[in-house]
Formats: sequence, C-alpha cells, structure tokens
Amino acid sequence: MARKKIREFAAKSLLKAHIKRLAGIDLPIQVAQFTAETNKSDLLNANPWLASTKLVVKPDMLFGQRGKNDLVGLNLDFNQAIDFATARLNREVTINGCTGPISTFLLEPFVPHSEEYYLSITSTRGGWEVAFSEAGGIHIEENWDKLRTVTLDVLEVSPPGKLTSEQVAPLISGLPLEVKPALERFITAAFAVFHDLDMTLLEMNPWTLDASGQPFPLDMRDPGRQRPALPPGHAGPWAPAASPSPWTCGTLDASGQPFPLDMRVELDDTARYRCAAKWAAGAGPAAQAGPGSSSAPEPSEIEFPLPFGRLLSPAETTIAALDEATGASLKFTVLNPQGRVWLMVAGGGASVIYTDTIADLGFAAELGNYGEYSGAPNTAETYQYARTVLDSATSNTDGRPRALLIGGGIANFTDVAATFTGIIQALKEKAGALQAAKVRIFVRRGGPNWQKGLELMRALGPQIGVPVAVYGPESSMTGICAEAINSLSQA
Amino acid sequence: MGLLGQLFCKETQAIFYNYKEKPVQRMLDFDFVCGRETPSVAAVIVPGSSGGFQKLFFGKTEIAIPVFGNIAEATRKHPRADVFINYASYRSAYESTLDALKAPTIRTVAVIAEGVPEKDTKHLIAFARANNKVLIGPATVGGVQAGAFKIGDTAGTLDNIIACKLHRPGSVGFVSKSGGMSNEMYNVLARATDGLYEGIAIGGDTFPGSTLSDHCLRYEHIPAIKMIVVLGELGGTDEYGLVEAMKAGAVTKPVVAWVSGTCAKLFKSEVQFGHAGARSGGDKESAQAKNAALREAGATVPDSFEGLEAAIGAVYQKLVAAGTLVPAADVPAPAIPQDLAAAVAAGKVRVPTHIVSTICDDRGEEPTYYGVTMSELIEGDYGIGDVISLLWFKRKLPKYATKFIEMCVMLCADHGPCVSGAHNAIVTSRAGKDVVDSLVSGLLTIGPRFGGAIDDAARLFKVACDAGQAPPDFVEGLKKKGVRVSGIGHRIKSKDNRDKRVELLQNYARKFFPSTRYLEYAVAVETYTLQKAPNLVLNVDGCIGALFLDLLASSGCFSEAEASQIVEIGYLNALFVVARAIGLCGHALDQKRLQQPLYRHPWEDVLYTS
Repeated sequence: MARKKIREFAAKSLLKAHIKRLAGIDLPIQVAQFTAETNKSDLLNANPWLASTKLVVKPDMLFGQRGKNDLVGLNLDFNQAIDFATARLNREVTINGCTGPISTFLLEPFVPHSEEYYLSITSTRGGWEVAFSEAGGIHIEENWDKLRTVTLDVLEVSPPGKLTSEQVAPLISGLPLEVKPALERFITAAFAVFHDLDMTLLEMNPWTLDASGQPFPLDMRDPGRQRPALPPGHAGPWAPAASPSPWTCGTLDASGQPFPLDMRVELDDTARYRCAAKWAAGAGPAAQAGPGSSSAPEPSEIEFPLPFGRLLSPAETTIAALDEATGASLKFTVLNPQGRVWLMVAGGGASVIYTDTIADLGFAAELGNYGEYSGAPNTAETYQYARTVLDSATSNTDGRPRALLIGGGIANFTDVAATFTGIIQALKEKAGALQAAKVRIFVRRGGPNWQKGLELMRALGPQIGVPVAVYGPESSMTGICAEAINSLSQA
Repeated sequence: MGLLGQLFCKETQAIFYNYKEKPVQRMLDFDFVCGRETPSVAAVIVPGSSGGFQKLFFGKTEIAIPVFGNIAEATRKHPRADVFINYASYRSAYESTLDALKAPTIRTVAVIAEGVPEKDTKHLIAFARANNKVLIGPATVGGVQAGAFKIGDTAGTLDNIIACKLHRPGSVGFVSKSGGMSNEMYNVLARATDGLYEGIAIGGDTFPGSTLSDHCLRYEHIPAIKMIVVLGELGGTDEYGLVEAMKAGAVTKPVVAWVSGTCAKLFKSEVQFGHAGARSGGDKESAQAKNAALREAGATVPDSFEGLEAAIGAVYQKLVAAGTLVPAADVPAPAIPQDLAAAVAAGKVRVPTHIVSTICDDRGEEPTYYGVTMSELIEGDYGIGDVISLLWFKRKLPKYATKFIEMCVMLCADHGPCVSGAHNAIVTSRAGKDVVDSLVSGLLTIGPRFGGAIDDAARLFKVACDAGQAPPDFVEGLKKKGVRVSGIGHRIKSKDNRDKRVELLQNYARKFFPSTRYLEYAVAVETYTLQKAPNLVLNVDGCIGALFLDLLASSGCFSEAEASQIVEIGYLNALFVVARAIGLCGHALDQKRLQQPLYRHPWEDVLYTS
C-alpha cells in the first residue's frame, strides 16, 4: 500500500471540512459529483446551491488537461451543466496514451476571478516542500521563475503540522501587504490539514481569493458580463491574470476567501487505520445518503479510484478484494488476456524481476499478467488467488501452447509447502482447463520446507496430466523463464 | 549520517520487541552455528507484561532469556545491547521505535512492520539522523553480518544459512530493497563469490529509514568488504545517492548493481508493484535510467537480472586474481539437533502422546460432542440430557431417557440453603471468595453422607436384585454388616408424607420406561423398612439410583458390562454434582448480590467443653 490519488471532489470536500475544524476557516467550497447513477433531482435536493449559482462541470478522474479535450463546461446553469456532463458521459478519451471512458464529473460554482495563485505541498524524505506562486494556472510553467519554494525539515516543524510566520514568509514576500495575512493564514491552515490527514501531496493550481467570499450568485449576474462559452481547444477555464477581464468581480480584496479552482491530493493509505473517520468527509455521495435518499446511510469510506484508463477485469476485481481483506499482499494485473506466459510469483521483489526477465527475453507482448503474492497468505487465500489466476491463464486460448510460471526467490520465513498446498488445490481443480489450454507449468522456489513443497509439485504433474518442471534453490531464480519460453515454440 | 562502518560484531546483542518465538529462535540458532559465545538476544519485550523469562534453545541446551514489559526497563537492565529489533505492528511501530531511538544505549533499530504511515517514518528518520542512530526499515526482513549477527527472520532456515555460508564472513557487502530477494542473493553470492560479509534489506517503502547509499558508504569503511553488490528497484531516487557517492569518490570499492523494474514500460497506466515504493512514475525513477546512471558512475551493471550472477563472479575473480581479495576459507558448521516439531513433520521421529480422549473433538470446522456437531445440537431437537448422553455415555439415548436425565438434574439442582453443600457455598461466598471458590467449597461436601448416596444405592440394589435376594434378607444382611441401606430413609419425609420428587420420578418411569424391575425391587425394600420405622422411605437418591439401573438395563443401549461399569466408576454421583452445581452457584451469587458480610458462627451456638 502506498500513496493514493483521490478525486478532486474528495480533495475539496476534505479541505473544506478539515480547514474549518483545524483552523476555523470557512471556505466557500461547494462540490457535487455526477455519474451515470446520479439522479438529477436527488442531486439537487442534496445540494440546493446547484440551483442558485452558475456552475463549472468537469471530469473528475485523476487526469489534467481537461480544457484541451472539450471536457470542461463553464458558466452553466444546473440544467446546462447536467446536459453537458450527460453528453460526455462514457465518451472515450485518450489522455497521455491511456484510453478510457469518462464516468465521473465534478460540479462546482463558477467563480469569476482575477488572481490565480499556485500552492503545493509535497512530502519528501527529509520533510516537506511548500511552493507558492502568484502566477498560477495554466501558465505556471511559463512563470516558473515566480515560483517560490521553502524546504522544511521534519524536526523544524514543531509542533508537528504547525508552520510559523517566518517559515511562510519567503513564499509571499513579494505580495502586497494587504493580502499577506490572508495568504499566510491559508497556507498555514492548508499545511495543518495536509499533516493531520496524512496527505503526501496537495496541489491547488490555481486558487484565488474570491472577492465576495461567496460563490458568484445568479441574481447579481449582469448579462453583459457573461462570458461566452470557450471555443474547443481553448487552453483552460481561467484567463491569465495579466489583464483583468471584464467579467471578473473586481480587484483583489483582502477580505476575500481562498477558493481552490483546481485541486489534487494524494493520501498515504497506510494511515487508513487512524484517518478513516476523517477521510470519510471526502466520501462520495453514494456513501453519504442525503436527506432525500430513501436508502439507509452506509458507513462512508473515501474512494481510491484507479488511475485513468485502468478498468479492472472481473479477475482483477476478485484479487483486489482479496488483497483488501487480508494482511498479506495479493496483486494481479492483466497485461494481455491472449498472452501465453502467465506469472504466479511469490514476493514483491522477485515478481518484478520475473516480469523484467520475460520482457528481456523478447516476450513482453506474450506476457499475460503481472502478479505477486507475499506476506504469508494462508492456504485458503493462496487457493483463491491461484484459481483466479488460472482462470485468466486458461481463457482466450488460440490452440498454441502456454506457460505458467510458479516462481519465487528463496523465502526467509514463508512456509513453501503451506503456500503450495493452496496453489495445488487450485491446479487440481483446474486440471481440465489447463490441459485444454495446453499449459506447461514451471516451478522454482526455495525457503522453509521447500523440499516438501517441491515434492508435492513434482507429484502433481502426472496426477493432473499437465507437464510440471520443478526447480529448487540450487538453480537460478529466473532460469525457468527461458525454459518456459522455449516450450512455447514446441508443438 | 552516523552510519560510518561496522554496525554489528560477534558480541553484538539485541533487544527484541514484541516477542515472536520463531525469529528469536532463528537468531539463536544462527548464533550457535557462528560459534558465538553469547546469545545475540539479550532480552525480549512483551509490551505490558510483568517480566519473567522466555525459554529458548541455544544450540543443544535451553536458556532463559529475560522478558520485560517496557523499553525503558529492558534498555536500562541490558545496557550492552545496542540493537533494537522491532516486531511491533504497523499501528504501534512508530511509538516503540521512537522510544528505542531515545534510549541512550541503542544505536541501531530495525523495524519489520509493513504499512507504517509515511509521516511517522519521516519523523523517525529525522530523529535518528539528529541523534546519530541507524534506522533499518520499515517493511524489511532486516539484515545479517555473516558469522556474527542476524536480525530476526533474515536468511530463513538453518539449512539455507549454512548453504549460503552465512555462518562465517565472506568478502561481499550487499544491500537491496527487497527482503525476499536478499535471501535469494545470499545464495547467488555463495555460488559466485566467497560469500557475504554483510547484507541489509532496506525495505520496500517509499522512504526507507536508511538508504542503499547509506549502507554502501558504510561498506566502503569496512576493510573486510572487498566488493559491493546492490539490488535496486524502480521508483524513488535512492540509487542516485549511490551514483553521486561513486562520482565523488566516496565509494571506491567495486560495485556490481542491478535495478529491477525494466518491465514498467510495458504498463500503459501507472501500476503499483508489490512494494509501496515501487511505482512506475517519472523517467528519472525508471529502472532503465537508474541502471544507466550507475553504469556511467562506474558500477558493473549487467544487461538483465539474469546476467547479475556472472557479473558478480567476474568482478570477484578479478579481485582474486589481483590479490586484492583472499577468498575466505570454508568452515564446517556445527550441527544443531533438529526441532522436535520439524523432525515429526519430516517423518524422522515418532513421539508417543500423553493423553487420550474419546468423547469430543475441537480441531475441525466446528467442535463436536462424540461426533455430533454444534450445528446439529443447536439446530436439532437436543437438550442438556442429550449433551450428557454424548459426553458421558458416548451415545445418543432415546428421548424418554434424556428427558429422565434432565428431570434428575432439575430435581437435584438445589435443596435449600441449610444443606451442607449450600451452607459451605454461602459461607465461602460471604468470606469474599469468588464464585469458583464458593462452588468448589460446596461441592467438596458431596460424599458418603451428603449427596453421594445415588451411586451406593444403585450398587446395592443392583447386586441384590440381580442375585434375586429377597428384600428382607437384603436389609437384614446389611444390618448384620453394620452398613446403612443407601437410598432408604429421610429426615422429615415418612410413610404418610411422601417425597414429591420420588413420586414424580416413579410416575414418569412407570409410564415411559420399558421396565422398572429395579424400581419395584427398591419399593419392595421400602415396604419392608417402613415396617421398622415410618421415616425409612425410599428417598430421592435411592429412587434415581434404582431408575438408572432400569434405564441401563431396559433401554437396549447398554451391554451388561457397560451397565456395571457405569455404576462402578461414579456416573451417578457425577449427575448429582452437575445438578447441584447449579444450586451452589445460585447461593454464591445470591450472597454477593445481597452484599452479605463475613459469616461468623455465634458463640452461643457452640458447646465449649473439654
């Protein structure tokens, strides 16, 4: 487990809830989520503000550059926003080479503004890097020289999570005196939230000081100020700050409230045991059954969505659920469902090396999956894992021989015979499928009780009518890769 | 960072936090094959315990390792132990590691737990650095200095340790992220070189407590290490620390390195590999980039992991040829007797059991009483009489019989607060003793004079009835021997004031039992004794005794021999004990509920005399 990205919806919900709790700051953030399951009137009941303000609607799927792909709707009323999202729901888009359907949108108030700031907090080994720029937004990279960064050592931030004025000062030194207190207060508070929620990354680009402290209200709207819809291909929703556009709400106002326009956050999911309740403030609407909902509220839990473009196959879903439920580690990613080389490898380190080796041998395209099991899964877990892998390894066959590598290094403490018992149970169950798919099995493993484990594997071949080649700690770990690949070309 | 040089030696001792038998025993076994004189574990900590000792093997003999409940006491009592091995869970690893780092005697802490939050680890890293201490892990198996000291489960079984020549120092310093791969590499090193000098697995987290380069810099300062082998992984920039150290001349020994994860380019979107720190992220963190940087800095980098063993071998042979490295001699390892459990599992020895049990089995999916599962008991039409049948008689009895057993339990459950058992239970309870003590105090009065008459009555009736002895002869025969007729006589009840309990049992048995031969015999005895005195009635003990004989004889469930044995070894007394325990507990609890004070018998009620 590790650093996990969360949706912008969750990021903004968490910021709003916890900056209030920790620093007493009431941010005018309003967010709502729209998916294929969303009922329009339920959404409106749960979020009445949707009807009283102009809206922004954009995909909320862990990728940027949304404006470039005609995926951002600006200055829309509620019905327009829903129409905009509905029209783009399930549209296939390609972002950085990953293709997938758009399934989740974020709705939030359209906030006209003049200033665009940048703020990021990054966790590093030695502490944190906090970066600020008054020239944020899509032009942040052109204005890299305006970015100010402070590096904070872990022990310098004392008490933990609390920044001092001196620490924040270098970030905002170039700004007008009248906005400094609000900026300092906001940066300090954001850092406190970052620390308290076990975040590893927080980025707001851009954010602004909203002049009114409120979302732009409809009844104050001057039709003449309405911004025309952006032409497709326009770089982004927010105009550069260089010249105030006619539709902004006025000049910088020190009484304004910070408002993050675009935001991303990563959480350290190993802190789930102590943060789950706090993170629940960022749980999606499905879990937070609102007053209009007839279903009983479920215990809400924050969502860690998959990277964009990753859709879990049923087999992957099964193993992800197993992984969630156990203290052991069970990983399974299908690379090529038609692949002819399949991996069932013990150990986080060894599994990467097996995958490397298959690729080095020129068979990357034939590799069915990446996977590993480690951390001493019990026999039942190993059995469930193995049968799921075997289902994938014996599907989508084309009549040509296949290879299954049951590999691993020399374990420190995992009982080899015990883990093999679960795998063997699954192999016996799937004997027919393995035969039909012309699978040959190659085993290499060492560690406690390896003799017995390998003996069981050797005895298995004749029992299930599948060729099983078995190697122990005396042979090289990855030797079975070449042997498996050679077997593919045999009839 | 205070990582200069040697962390361990042959005298190094550790304090082991959150005791686990296997890793500690594996450390001690390693010590023995290394020829260490002292065990490498000075003390173990079981958080919250009150101390004592833990018995473990050191070679062929057993030793007692002191146990402490907290870190402060353990470090104070064992100031020479400078390594802290932390097997705490990810939830508590931070606090215990911080405490250990604060202890002035601890220099090195190894954290095994996987899943310690990043924020916590960062604080530990900063604290360790500020205090010149070494942190290994989290999420690691630890490390080993060959022939000297081993952390926890590192290097696995004794067979593997000896196969890898880890019981004596070689010439190679090794560091990897992966704990599993470290053991694999000790095997590789044993094949390709004269073996390991020291190996550390830094752990797979994003921010390991000490880095690949930290340990390489240390190895640079250990004269016995002649070459360094590094196994890195995609994700993070740790390998660049080593690149810089090599470029700056801070690491001059030959380095053979491989960074795994070249496959990451196969994955279109971001993939989390097995290790938390292994993410296919930016180009700089890719395995390809890191391998190239290491190669450029002067490390020997093969084309693939497959080529690593040969690359290590080539560098080693070059050092040997140049005379820089004199291969370490092989040393035979002393044999350690196999553990009993392992020998049994391997089928090498057989061990007799010390206890035999036939009535139940708690090893399966659900416990069974003589083969009957809990589900069947609860979901079927079973009662306490059936449970007694299964556990005592090892058979299912017909409904009328189990109902009879239940009636006996119900009728014998209590007989008022004045009988000796209840009195004792009350006095004990009022003396402030707990329910168990009060119950046992009451139960201990059960015997020949109180409650124990069922067995005796049954035995007497059985012998006499089976022999066809006429009731008057039976009574007179006993009288001649000076033996009371058990089951006959009551303090209050008489011919005209029959015991209701006896009446109920008789009615039931006459209605449902196939035969009441023994009961009729007992009634005939009563008819005779009533002629002698009106209170010589068949009492409840005698009635239960006689009816049990009828049950055994007429139910068709017991052989003659079984019936005799049941009467002989005290089954019927047991029935009284079970029944009366209900009442005795009731009395003990009653006194507690009423908060009755200590009972003291009044003087006036005692005849003082001499």
